[in-house]
Amino acid sequence: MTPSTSSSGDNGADPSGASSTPGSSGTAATGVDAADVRPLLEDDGSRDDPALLKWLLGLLLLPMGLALALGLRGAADSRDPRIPDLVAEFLPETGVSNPVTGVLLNFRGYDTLLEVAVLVAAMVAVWSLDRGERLFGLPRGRDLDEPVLTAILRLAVPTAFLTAVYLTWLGSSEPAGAFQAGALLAGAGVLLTVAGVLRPPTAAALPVRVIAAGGVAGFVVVGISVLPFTGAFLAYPEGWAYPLILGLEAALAVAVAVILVELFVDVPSIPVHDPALDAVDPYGDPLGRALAPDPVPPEDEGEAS
Amino acid sequence: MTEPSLSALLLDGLVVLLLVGLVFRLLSTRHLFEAVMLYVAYGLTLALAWVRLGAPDIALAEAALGTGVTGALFLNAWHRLAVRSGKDDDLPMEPES
Repeated sequence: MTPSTSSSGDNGADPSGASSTPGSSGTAATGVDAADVRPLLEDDGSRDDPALLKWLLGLLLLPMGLALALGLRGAADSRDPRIPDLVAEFLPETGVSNPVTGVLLNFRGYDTLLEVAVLVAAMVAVWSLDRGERLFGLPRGRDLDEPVLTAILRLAVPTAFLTAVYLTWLGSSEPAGAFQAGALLAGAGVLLTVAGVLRPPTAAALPVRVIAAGGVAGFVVVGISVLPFTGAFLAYPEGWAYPLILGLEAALAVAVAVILVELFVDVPSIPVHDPALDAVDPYGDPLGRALAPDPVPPEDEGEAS
Repeated sequence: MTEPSLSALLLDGLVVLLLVGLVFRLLSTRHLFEAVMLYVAYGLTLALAWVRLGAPDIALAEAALGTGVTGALFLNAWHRLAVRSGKDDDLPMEPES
């Protein structure tokens, strides 16, 4: 939505015009026409027969479920039987002893690269919901005067932190890795944020962006810098695989943790009950505020009316 | 592959039944808050199922991502809806008839 509003005589009676070009009608404060706002929680009066709907849905879902089950069975039968042996044969060359990590970080490193890129994109998408201007997404922290919460935080947060470091390191030999470690770190971060101890900045803060992009950037830098030695993207030179993988996993864990916390922090802030917004958005559309355009300057408004 | 013991079979069957029961309740409840709580319980039970299937790494990811972070996001969304509509107690999914 463009911040500069068109002043070419649109009016509130035309729903499409009102929603795309906020203008002179009574809803100029937010540019959302009350008639356009679909009820989210309230009753809109329309009713389908719920029992009939349920049966129809069941009739539709049953063959779908059967087809899925059969398809999954077929997929399990048709997988290449040579793959486990191939992975086992070349595992010593990956620098790690856990086959899952070997596949994810060495054989198919670019898959993991793209996975983290998707996470970064998700963060940017959530961040853009609120036009990405706020530096802090949640209200100011408060003093903890709740003994139970304090006790839980004192136990859970250091344990989660320690476990995350351990999981990152463990990933090279046992089933674990950067994503699990990052998720655990993010859990600790969300816990601290919700408790009001931590007040993480949104993705508008440069350090957040640098760390969040660090996982992908590390992958790309490593992938390109090994090119002169091995001639292939992300093909680690002999003897370098283990330290490179461990370093990438550490960067990934931190990046994943920051991105997941940002998914939590960057959503448009929990709004205080605003009666002015009720006039245009009586149903509490969670995006109502985020989608509202910039306030129209006074001279613009005069021109429109 | 050794023959699974009876107690292991019983435990696995219990987990499966619990999963199906939780999903049914989760999808049929009329209360958002209850649905969120059931979703968290479902995620933890699913993590248990992954452990039983011998995939502790996926169990970890399910517990941390699917339950912890997603549950927190759902709670956040529920809170937004509660604050926005001016009542902090339970929100019905549909108006009670």
